[in-house]
Amino acid sequence: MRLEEIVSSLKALSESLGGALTKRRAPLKERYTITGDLLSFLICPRQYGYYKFYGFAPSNPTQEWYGSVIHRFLKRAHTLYRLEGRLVKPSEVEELFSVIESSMEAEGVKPSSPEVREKVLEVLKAFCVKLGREFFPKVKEAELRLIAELPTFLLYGIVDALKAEDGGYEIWDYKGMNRPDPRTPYGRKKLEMYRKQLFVYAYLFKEKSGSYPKRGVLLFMNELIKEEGEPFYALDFTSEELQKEVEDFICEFSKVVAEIEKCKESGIWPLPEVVDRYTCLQCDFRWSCEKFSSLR
Amino acid sequence: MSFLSENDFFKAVEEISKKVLNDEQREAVCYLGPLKVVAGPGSGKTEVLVLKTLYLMAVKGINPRSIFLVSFTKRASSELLTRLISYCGALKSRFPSLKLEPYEVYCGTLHSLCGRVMDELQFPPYQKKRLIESFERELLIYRSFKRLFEEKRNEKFFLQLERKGSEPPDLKQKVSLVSFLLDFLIQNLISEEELLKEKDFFLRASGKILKRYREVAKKEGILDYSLLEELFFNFLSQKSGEPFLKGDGSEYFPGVKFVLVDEYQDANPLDQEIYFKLSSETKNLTVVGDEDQALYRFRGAVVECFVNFEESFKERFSVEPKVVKLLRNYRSNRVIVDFLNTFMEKHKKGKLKEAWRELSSRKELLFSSGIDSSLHFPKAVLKLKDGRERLALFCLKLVKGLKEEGVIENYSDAVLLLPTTREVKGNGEKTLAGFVRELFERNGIPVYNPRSKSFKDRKEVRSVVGTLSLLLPSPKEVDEEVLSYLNGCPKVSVEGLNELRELAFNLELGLLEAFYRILPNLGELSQEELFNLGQLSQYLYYLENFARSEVERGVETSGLLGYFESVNPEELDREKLVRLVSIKEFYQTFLYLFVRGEVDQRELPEVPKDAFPVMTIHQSKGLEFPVVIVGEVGSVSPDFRLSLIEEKFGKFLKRNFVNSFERGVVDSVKRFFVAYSRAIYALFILLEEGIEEEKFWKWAALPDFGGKY
Repeated sequence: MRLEEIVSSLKALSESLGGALTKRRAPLKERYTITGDLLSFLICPRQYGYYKFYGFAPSNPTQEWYGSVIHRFLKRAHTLYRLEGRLVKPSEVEELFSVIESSMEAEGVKPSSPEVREKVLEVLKAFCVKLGREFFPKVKEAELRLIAELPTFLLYGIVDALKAEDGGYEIWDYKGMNRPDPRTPYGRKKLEMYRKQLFVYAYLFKEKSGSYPKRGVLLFMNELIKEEGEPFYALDFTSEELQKEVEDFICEFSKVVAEIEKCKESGIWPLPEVVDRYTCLQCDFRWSCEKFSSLR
Repeated sequence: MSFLSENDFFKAVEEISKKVLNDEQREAVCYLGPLKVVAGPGSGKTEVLVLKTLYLMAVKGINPRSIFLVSFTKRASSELLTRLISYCGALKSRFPSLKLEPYEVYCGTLHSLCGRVMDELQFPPYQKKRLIESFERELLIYRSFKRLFEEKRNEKFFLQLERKGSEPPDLKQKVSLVSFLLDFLIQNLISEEELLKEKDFFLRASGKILKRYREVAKKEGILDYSLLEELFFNFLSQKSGEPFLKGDGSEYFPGVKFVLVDEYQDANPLDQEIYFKLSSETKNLTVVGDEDQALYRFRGAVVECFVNFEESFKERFSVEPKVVKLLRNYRSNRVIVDFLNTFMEKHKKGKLKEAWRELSSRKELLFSSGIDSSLHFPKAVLKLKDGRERLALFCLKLVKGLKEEGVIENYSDAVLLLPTTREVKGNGEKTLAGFVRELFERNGIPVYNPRSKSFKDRKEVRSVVGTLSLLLPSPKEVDEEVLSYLNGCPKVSVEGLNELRELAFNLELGLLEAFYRILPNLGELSQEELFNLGQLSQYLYYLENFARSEVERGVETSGLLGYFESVNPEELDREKLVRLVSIKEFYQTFLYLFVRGEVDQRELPEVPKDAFPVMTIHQSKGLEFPVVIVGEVGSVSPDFRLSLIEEKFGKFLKRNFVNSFERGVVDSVKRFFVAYSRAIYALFILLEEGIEEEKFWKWAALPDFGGKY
């Protein structure tokens, strides 16, 4: 059979079927998170593209130690309460902590200094003493996995704790850090980012359960060891105004996802208009980056 | 309303999907006991698994956390979950009071689920371990068994796996063999204790290797995928696993009620033990697969797990599983379905019919796609015979012609499937993929062939590795092959090279940091190149990780400094020591293996629309293409060493013996069956001139059809 005949036969077949012989399956919707994707992309699209999309390994992996230890500890403490119906005793904190520490060591993640290690221990002890008794009995679920389908992608997130309070629910997110200072532009920006994180969790919770949680709470763990620390930042999701803001933000999120997908397709990952020095200093791609040069 | 009636459920899902389930699919969805689903290509098996999970949640009110849904690859499990989430969303919008939480289902690859469950239950032996990928594992094996690989007296061990009179395998082959052997033993539940009792030298030596490997893994706190599964199986068998297996009375751990496994033809005996254990409480195990699409024997898959599933299950649980066959093919043109049936029938009734009886079952695909070209294009399956270059020219003219005529929308609507996609052979000869790239690119059509050459030979990889060797302190003695590779690598000019070298020599700049200093000097990089460099950075990350744990354990520093020509640190603090050890490992272990071997290469997440894809048959599993071209059919050969290993451990294997040569031929046929069944509208099989002279098993691709195709 001659090639021209093959092409014309296939053409006749496509015409008889009413269209080109093209793939019928729509591509799979991708999963996106607020912190791992959207916020990282907004901080710096280029950095996000290199680490997250192309899979470059960071040369300084110790950054994640502090937050991870806190999350793992609180998860264990919650499991202990769920299985044995009791709180972590102050004398047990160190023991539990070293189990977590050694498992992280096995993964190659270590604290940057002995001082950091001491500090996290202090924070965890403070949590158990100051909040544990009130907190753990009310936790309905730790690391609650939530997901919702949007028209072009899947939105997902893991809420640190779902807490029952006054006949409703609160979503909690632990932050292994000081409370950002709203008097500085950097602090304001950070707080705004975390606020958006609560928006997404609240939205996902609403998609799962049919209604918004009563409150969203950020717990800035380092504040627990300060004399006049302010560990809580809370949002009231019963407010219709705030619910409207959440809905608007989800539309905004979809637009950013469209931008991310455009970058993935074109391979062009632009630099952000504004970026903070700390982000750049941690970035492995700073050596050829005009943003970093401008900050130096 | 808390749950749906069966009628409401099917009515709703049929409205959502705009598809009506056939009787067999519906039966597979609704049957609640042990079940084996034999699912031919394009028969909607993924849909059945998704709907079965949905049915369990929406109609039977099963807690999603008691459903264990497994697929073979990340891509496939991601597809399952995405489709499940879509259905849940659509069902909830129709029935708002319905409570569905698809994300709570234990859905993933077996490895990811082993990790997730042990992490959720905070199983201490798991939490103290680090999971390693295949390349890092090879590095570990090489370092841990150096004497076995290098000492002359150990060659007789490796010669047992060679044809008589052959040379011993090279180092890389030895490492791969030991790596395969370890997986093989663990996956087939063969213990070192059993082997150490054997008189046979080879079996005893294998027992020693396994014993030593376990010691190394324990000492280093690592898990590879086989050890991960083994640990999970042990976890399930202990008290620690009970809350997960049987439930702890809470909604959080309700116990495992249903286990659903896709691609069961690629399961191994250890996998099967895990699935049996998971379903031991309820016996609700559903396995879905197709013996004729078994592709992964070389990774330890044992097709008999699927073929003999009914007997094994009955023997274990005294319950006979139901068997449902999904044979309606909703994918391909009638001409292609006829061809697939003829192809398999020819083989199954042919010379190796005894082997086929052990390794497959009789079945006939039923045409159901509604695409019928018997009138317009009865030759929708066509074989062509020519020289390699002219076959490449045919590919070009066909794809170009189809695109120009608007018959296909994108170049990626057609595909070239090959047993291997290397563009140049080891002897320098250009392959079909090589000719295709040259001709297509000359005509302005991009080609997407992610495995066109080995990782180490990629330009961007060579540039970075070559330049790293300029920046980093070098050892006093470098292995000859490594040296010749490094000499052949291009070196890019790096801004501030001297300062950087000084930093590196003072151990103030680590391996990865040096990598990132080179990166900006490489010029513009394509997406593919960036993915490859991302992968290279991961290897360097592994080395640094390894070095970190060596230092933690208290590495011997005396020999370290003597290894390098000029390293002059004033004092070796922990970080400097980590850098020094990682640089040493880079030369001594990483490059040594890297230049001799091959690593699995990552691919772009999606085949680019505007490029013509050239893929291996394995890569194409789970995909479909309007036009499929299959070439280099003579380059398939049974794996000789694999067959020998199976023979040597025959008495430990719980399966009937099939002559390993015949098993190899059957595997090859299945490989082509997978390739051919990817085609929707047209299939072209390219034969190179001279193929008649080849041995008969190479005809796996095309038995004699008496001129019909």
